[in-house]
This record gives sequence, structure tokens and C-alpha cells, in this order.
Amino acid sequence: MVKTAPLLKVIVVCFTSRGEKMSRGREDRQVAFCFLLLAAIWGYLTLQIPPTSIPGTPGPRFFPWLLVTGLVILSLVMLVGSLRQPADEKQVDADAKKDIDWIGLGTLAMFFVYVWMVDLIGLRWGTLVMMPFFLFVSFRLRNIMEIALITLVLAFGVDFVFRVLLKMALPMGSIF
Amino acid sequence: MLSSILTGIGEATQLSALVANLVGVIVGITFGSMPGLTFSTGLILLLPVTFAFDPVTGISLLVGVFIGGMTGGSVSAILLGIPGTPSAAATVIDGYPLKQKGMAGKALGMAVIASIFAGLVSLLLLILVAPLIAKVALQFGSVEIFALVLFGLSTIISVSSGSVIKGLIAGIIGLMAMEIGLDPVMGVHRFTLGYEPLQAGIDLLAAMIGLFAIPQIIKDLPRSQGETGIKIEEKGITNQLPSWQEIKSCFGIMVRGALMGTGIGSIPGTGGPIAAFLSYETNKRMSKHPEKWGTGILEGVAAPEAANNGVTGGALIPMLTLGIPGDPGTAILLGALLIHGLQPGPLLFQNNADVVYGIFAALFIANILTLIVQWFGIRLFVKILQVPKTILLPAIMVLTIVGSFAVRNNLFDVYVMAVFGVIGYFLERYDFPTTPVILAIVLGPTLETEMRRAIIAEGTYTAFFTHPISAVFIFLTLVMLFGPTVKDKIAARRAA
Repeated sequence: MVKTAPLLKVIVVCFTSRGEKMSRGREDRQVAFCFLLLAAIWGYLTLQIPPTSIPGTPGPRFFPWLLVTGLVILSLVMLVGSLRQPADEKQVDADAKKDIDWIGLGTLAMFFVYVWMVDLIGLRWGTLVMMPFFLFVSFRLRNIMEIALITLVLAFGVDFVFRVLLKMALPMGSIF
Repeated sequence: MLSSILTGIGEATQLSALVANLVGVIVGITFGSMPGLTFSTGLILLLPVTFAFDPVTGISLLVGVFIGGMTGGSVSAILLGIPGTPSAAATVIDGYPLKQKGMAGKALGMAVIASIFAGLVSLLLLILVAPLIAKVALQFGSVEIFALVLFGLSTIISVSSGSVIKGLIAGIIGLMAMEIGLDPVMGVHRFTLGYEPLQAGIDLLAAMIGLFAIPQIIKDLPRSQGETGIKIEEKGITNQLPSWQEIKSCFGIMVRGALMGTGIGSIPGTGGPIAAFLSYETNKRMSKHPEKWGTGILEGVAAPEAANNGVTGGALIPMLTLGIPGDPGTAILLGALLIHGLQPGPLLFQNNADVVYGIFAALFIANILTLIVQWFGIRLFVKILQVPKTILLPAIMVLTIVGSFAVRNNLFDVYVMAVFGVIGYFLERYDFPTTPVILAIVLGPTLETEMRRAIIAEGTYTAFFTHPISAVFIFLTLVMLFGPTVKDKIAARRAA
């Protein structure tokens, strides 16, 4: 019987002592928990896959189980590594807590709205509607003429190059 | 054989292929020279455009980006002291001091000559070596292919510069994504949640666009109002060839750099930065006046530039012959071949020899075009470097949608791209490398299919250790995984 705790210790020492800075102990812990949760969900979904019909051979569940096992082990290693962090580093860590990247997250959210708009009204009109928001909020442009010009060039220029010149299909919008 | 070579060369020299190659070179130099924008992003964005062309024309476009991008990194390294690509980091050491001495034109001239010389040497080696490796690899069965792909995946270790654990987790995320859809052996649904569009699986290109382009856009967003493009003092920046005497004095350095670049490039997971720094250090040590290196000498530009372009041919050896990409650039090229219905590996040389020789011809043309474009277009690239990102990034944003939609004319892929954009954003935010995800996405399906086929065919799980070639690759995988750690431990013990 393999003793898992010493094995885990060996892996932790092996991979976390290579000059790696686990300087973000708290963040790493949170991320490790997220991956453990993902592994649990993936494991549950793996159980929903019908088992193999050929006995003695690896079925469709085999590889997903391998990945779940790998993810659990690596997440635990990450977790243990973050707990092994020296106290002074933890302090530095707490001091250097990251600000929330509102611009980045906001841009991502707007991007989903943009994709939804493209789905609804097509690339050309979707770009015309959404690009000014991107340029104003994400790219911090304040010149109305500049915003209008970039929006028009992108909306019609991309349409012309890809649809007209290269004869490629572009999203036309589900409502049209 | 001869007819395949002639067909390949004929296809690569068609007007459409030449124009595509030229456009690729221009895009490559542009993306390569702009700090923050990698030529991998350029490759990803142009990949969907290749659907409009035949395989050789499409690949010519991408090969142009690949060669142009690798060379273009030197432009900003010399002019701004900021490497446009990681491979050009070593060029800054002597390139930027040369610019400060008012010799920017000469430094750029030497960079492009060394790059193209090395690119052509590595291409020659690729042409000579690749068919031989492909012939050997043709003997591989499922057991060997699995072990080989596993070895290819172990390069995740070397591309995970920050943390190996995080790199491995990122690799598993990529493998998980590739499990969605129909099981490759039994055909049963996996992780589709009863949602029909997921049955076809995650599209490779949509995932790659999301992972590369979206985090790049967000990373480069202006964090303060009024951020403008880079200002460069254009005075004195002209194209200026180094003298024959100067080229002659750098010839040995260029040869060494080219050979080192090709050799290092052919090892999956190494790539341009390692080759460039190694070449710089080696040539400096071999120099009669090492003290001058770093103060702004042409040799210090020739050494890294020759090595990083030598990598281009070297990296294509495992990609074309074994289907193993060693870095993001070759992973994208591999994806491009797959999308065009071509399976890189030994069979490519047997079944699509014309395409292989077309790629070789396209590489040669791309090197020549890069020389011409970078030579005559230096003033243009100085101007492009000054274009604010507030114009370039929105364009990239629109192109991500065009690109992901173009694969299957399906909006579902655009949503997939956006989701992978979010995954890529969070991975980067928490210092997880994204390249392992790409490697896993590209190699994952083959890994699983061949592993299961091998076990079914051999009837035992131990087959991977009893077949000699497979055992060697598994041993090499273990060396890749644990070797650096063991080496560090031994060094630490000796030091103590």
C-alpha cells in the first residue's frame, strides 16, 4: 500500500523548491480550492459517462479519471506549498493584496455583450453599437470624432475586407 | 519524389502564395516589432483568413508571419531597448547601445542579415534532416506515438517559466477542454450536458484565439487616460548595410548562432529566447575582446539574431516529422495544418509530400521577403511602432470574432472563444502560463486516442515500458519532469 502523505510531501518539495516563489500564498490557496472544486465537478460529470462495453480495456471514463486524479494531486500540492510559505512572506503577501481589475473585468463583460449583439444583429451593426462603449470605457478615448471614425472604419472596413474581398462568411444576425 | 518537389515549389511560387507570404511577412514584422503584441497573436488572427486559400497559399501566409515575426522583434529591441518578442531580448544588450551611438541603421542591417542567413541555414538543415526522421517515425505504432506525444506534452515544464505546478494544472485544463464532445474510440457523449452544439467538441482555433488574443487585449488596455503611442526619435534611422569587412568579421558568429538555433529549436519546449541568450554567451566567451560585448558592437547583435532565426527551421523539424510543437508559434502552425485536413507527422511526408515541399519553398521565400521588406520598410515600421494601441487593439477585438466564426460559420464557436478568453484572462491574472493549455489542446486528442488504442491492441498497460522506443520517450519525459529539480538539488547539496 502506497502511503500518500509522504508521496505528496516528496512532490511538494520537488516542485515548489525550484526557486519558485509561492509569494501569493493566499491567492494560491483560493485558486487551489477552486481547482479542487473543478475536479469534484469533473469527477461527478465523469460518473455520468456510460461505462465501457469492452471489458478489460480503458473506456471513455478512463482518461477523464486520470485528469481528475492529476488535478486533485496538483491542487493539493499547490495548497500545501502555499501553507508552507514562511510567515514573513505571508505578511508581504497580505500587504501586496491585488486591487480588483475593474477595467479588465468590465471589458470582459462588455465583450460578452458584444458577442451577444453580434449574434443578434450581426457583426457590422454589433460593432457599430458596441465599439463606442469599448473605446470610451476600456480604451479611455474621449474625442467623439476619433471614436466615431474608429468605429466606422472597423465596422465597415472589416466587413468589406472579409465579406467582399475574401468572400468569407460573417455573422449576419439572427433577427435579420 | 521529384514531381512532389516540383509541385510544392510550383504551388509556393504562385502569385497568390507569394502575395500571401508577403502579407504574412509584413504582419509578422509589425506584430513582432510591437512590444506587447506577439507574432503568435498575429498568427492566430490570420489563421482564419487561410480558409479562403488552398493549403500551400494559406500556410505561406502563416509562414510569412512566423519568419517576419521572429525577425521583427529586433526592430524595437534596437530602436526602443524593448524586445518586441522574448527571442529578441538578448539583442537589446548590444543593439540599443548601438542606437545610442547613432548606429541604429547599421544595427538593424546586421540584425536582418544575421536573421536571414540563419533562417536559410536552418531551412537547409530542415530539408536534409526532416525526411530522415519522418522515415524512422513511420515505423511508430500507437504505443510509440502515445509515448512521443507524452514527451511532447512534457515540454510544458520548460514553457512554464513561473511555476511547474501551475504549468501542469494549465495543461490539465487544456486536456479537459478537449474531452468535451464524442469519445474518440467508443463514440459516447462526454461532458456535453445534453447540449447539442457541444457534441462536435471544442473548436481548436476558437479556443486558441480566446486564450491568446483576449488576455492580450486586456493586458494592453490603457490604465490611465491619455496614454499615447511610443515616440521615437526618427532622425538617423535609415537602412544602412554593414560593410563587407563587418559582415566578414561576424560570419563565424552567424554560423555558430545558426547551428545553435537550429539545434536548440529542434528540441521541443526550448525556443528562441534560450537559443539567443546561449548564442550570445557562447560567442562572447569565444570572442577575442569579450569586454566590448554589451557596449554596443555588431557581433552582439549578430549572435542572438542568428540564433533566434535559426530556431525557425529547427522548431519545424519535430513539428512536421513527429507532429510535436515545441512553442506557441509551431503549435499554431500545427493547428493550421490540422484545420486544412493535413496531419503533421511522418505520414505527411508520405501522403502530402507536395505540401511539405511547398512549406519548405514558402519558408525560403519568406526569408527573402523578410530581408526585402525589413530593409526597404524600416521607416514604415518606425511609424507603425508609434501607432497607438487604442487603434490596434479594437481591431484585434473585431478580428477575434471574425476568426472564431470563420472556422465553421457557427456563432457557438464565437461564444466558445469568449469563454476561453475569460479562462485565459484568469489564468494570466493568477500567473498560470497559457502555452501549456494550447499544447494540451493540440496534443490532447492524439494522446488519449493512441493510449487507448495501444492498450486495446496490446492488451496490457505495461506495453509502454516494454517497447524500446516508447520506453526511451517515457524515460525522457521523466527526465524533463524531474531532471531540473534533481539537478538543482545536487547543485544545492554541493554548494552546502
